[in-house]
Amino acid sequence: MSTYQDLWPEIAPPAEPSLPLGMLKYQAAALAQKTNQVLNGEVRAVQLVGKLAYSMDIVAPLLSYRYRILLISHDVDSVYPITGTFEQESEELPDEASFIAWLRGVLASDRVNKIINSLLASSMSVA
Amino acid sequence: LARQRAADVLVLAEGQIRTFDLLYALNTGGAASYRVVPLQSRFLRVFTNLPARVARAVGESDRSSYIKIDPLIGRGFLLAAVHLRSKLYDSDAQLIAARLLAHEIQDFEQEAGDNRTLLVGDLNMNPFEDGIVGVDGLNATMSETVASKSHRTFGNRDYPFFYNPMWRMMGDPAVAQGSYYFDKGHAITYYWNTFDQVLMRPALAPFFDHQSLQFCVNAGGQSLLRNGRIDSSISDHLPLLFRLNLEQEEATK
Repeated sequence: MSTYQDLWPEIAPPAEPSLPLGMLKYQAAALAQKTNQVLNGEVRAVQLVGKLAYSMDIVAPLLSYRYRILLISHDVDSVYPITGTFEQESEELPDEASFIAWLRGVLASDRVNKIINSLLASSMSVA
Repeated sequence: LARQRAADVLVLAEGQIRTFDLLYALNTGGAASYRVVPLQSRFLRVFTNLPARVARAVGESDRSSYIKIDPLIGRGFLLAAVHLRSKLYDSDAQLIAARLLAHEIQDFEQEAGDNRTLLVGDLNMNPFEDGIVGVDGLNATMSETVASKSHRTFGNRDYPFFYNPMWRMMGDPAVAQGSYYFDKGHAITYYWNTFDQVLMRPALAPFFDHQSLQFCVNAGGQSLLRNGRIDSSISDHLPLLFRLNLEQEEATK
């Protein structure tokens, strides 16, 4: 008679969490803080075959509206390189420094700034 | 007031201030933790400092909004925020509105398979009026002991109880004698009315902090009363404040 046994090797927990996902969530929360919760960010997992992918939306609860500003993805077995997509343009980001520089550029871009201002102004006009 | 009292949930009825301005007022100078619960209601707005996964809207109708609260500690409950129509325009409709509300709440409870409901809001009726105490209205009793029987049978049908702790607030000389003052010379005039109420199903009653129940007469160091009446230049109703100790339930497990 055969018996079942655990064939997995030892699995140690990682020393630290994945930075890109944590960094996106931090920016999402920071947007809520900066706008007194009139806007907030939301990070969601996106299904892409063979990849881990996350989107970040700007959400305007008073308008029941959300706008997707970026998407990042990377191979399931390696965090870098990351593919960052903003305004339908994709960029390969080989390491943490380039990812943070890219993200800073996206959040400070004219496009995102205009979207935030427009959503804030529209939210202000809600009763 | 919300920040001063560290309110987890803030329900506003008939507010004139824009939601945008309220968010700035609630969050400026603090941790910016208050968010608005997305609702379509014209009559109610709900703000909370609880995360979206803990407090989320699950449904609404014309004058009621339902929010499921699933705290990190303790069992969850359904918060029914309500603003019933004024008796100034159609007092006959109040009983019907209370009946419809009672049925709506029971539908939600049946769907959720849980009868832990807390109802709060401007009911525009006093605790003794037909829509509140009537068996086919909200069926709310002043007695926690009676309510603990869970329901009463009338005819051949069972009607679930609400426990209404507001009775002791009527005429309390220590603070305000109600939440709304009305004196237009009608033959029957109560002057002080307790329109703003919290009712709960008996399952939640053991966790209700009776000492916390109060009508606030001060906010941010400013009195909400003037000459012994409500200062309507600030609000024509007094805020109702209470606490539910759900962590106590967890501790007794």
